[in-house]
Amino acid sequence: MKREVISEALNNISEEYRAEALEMHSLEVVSGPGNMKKKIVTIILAAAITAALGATAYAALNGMTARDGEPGETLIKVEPSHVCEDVYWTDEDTGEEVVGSFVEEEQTLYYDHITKVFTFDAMDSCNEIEFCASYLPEGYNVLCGGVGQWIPVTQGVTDSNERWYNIDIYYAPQFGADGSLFCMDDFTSEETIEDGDFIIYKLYGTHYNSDIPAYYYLMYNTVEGYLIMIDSNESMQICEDIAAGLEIRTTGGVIHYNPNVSHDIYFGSGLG
Amino acid sequence: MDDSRIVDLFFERSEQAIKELSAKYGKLAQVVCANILKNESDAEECVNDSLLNTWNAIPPAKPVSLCAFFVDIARKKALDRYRYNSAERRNSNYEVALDELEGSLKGEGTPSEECEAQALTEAIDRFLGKLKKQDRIMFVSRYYLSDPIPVIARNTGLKESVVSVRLHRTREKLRTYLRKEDLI
Repeated sequence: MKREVISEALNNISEEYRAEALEMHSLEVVSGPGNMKKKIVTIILAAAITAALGATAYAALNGMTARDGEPGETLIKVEPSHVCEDVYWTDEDTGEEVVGSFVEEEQTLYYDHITKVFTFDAMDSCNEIEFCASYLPEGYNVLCGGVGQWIPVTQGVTDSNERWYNIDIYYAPQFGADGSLFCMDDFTSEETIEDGDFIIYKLYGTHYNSDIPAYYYLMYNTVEGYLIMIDSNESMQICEDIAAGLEIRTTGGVIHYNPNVSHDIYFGSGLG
Repeated sequence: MDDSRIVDLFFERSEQAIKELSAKYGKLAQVVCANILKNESDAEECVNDSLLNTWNAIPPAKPVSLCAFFVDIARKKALDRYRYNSAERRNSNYEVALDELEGSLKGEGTPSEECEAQALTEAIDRFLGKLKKQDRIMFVSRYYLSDPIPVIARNTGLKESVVSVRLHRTREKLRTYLRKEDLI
């Protein structure tokens, strides 16, 4: 069948079905392309003229609290047993695709070198978001995401795997009142900037148990309850340039607090 | 503002109708156009043209779904622009989606034996009516709106691999259905 015929036929499918599919799209823009870019650029300019705050032992900010880890602070995280559903695999005997589920056993994880802990004002739910990067540094292989793609996570790495960057999203309801976003990397300095709804948190240091540089750029929206984390092992400038080019919008999904999962989330070294 | 009020504004010939339509569905139309064109500024032009076309179409038209009506105009604008821009380029989301469907609907007959587009539309509509709602939404999202798989996965809450497999099965079902109907 000619593609022209298929194309013409698709043009005229029932309005009812088109409306049904369109209804699924929720494209409310949290921060329009112009607004967001302007806002972040403003923030960066503000940062340039603001004296560096130096190492801050404790910073209580609107909706988000940051503190340094205590010497020897250890966190024991229990990942409860859970069922992984809708798992697809190919049956070796029949060659057919099979869908099923399996049980992931309970795991206990030990983190014994905690250096930075972020906690959040409890939120029961918040809008899910995605971002679109208009700038990503050149010379990297993009493992997921890419310039111009709306996506919730992006990773890039160089051929030699010596340099990388990541963009991730976290949500306040993931942490609840009892959980935290924590790290084991070693930091030598940090900056905090508050601007409107956003808190920008910059961390400079080295990755856990290594001398690989670590740069983290955290943008927390205190109203919407989402946090975008950009990290690079090359420079803070890369993180800032990526941030300046981000557009953000809601997906229509909602992130809810789940009492049955761990509320402590580790962030740190490398790609994962 | 709800859709019926916006349609009323069109009937009242109030230019506020354009502003409200643009604010409510402009971004959505932009995404659909960009799926086809892979060019934001071209997509934006199509959306702007579509606002004017909608202004000219309503009245007399009184759409049941203002969203579907407006997005359809924008999509057709984007297709026209796409054909104008490059007949040779085969890398937009629209082309990729069409490639998938063309591969599944490859018939054995000669082009002269192929069905007319209208008959195919009617058959696809009947076929869509038999699908589960989620499969139907995924099909229309992919092959009408040219949504990339990750977008459909996110909107439906399913994994990308699950979406791919289900779309593949839906295409296979469509092929079987069209064969039964003697359309391919």
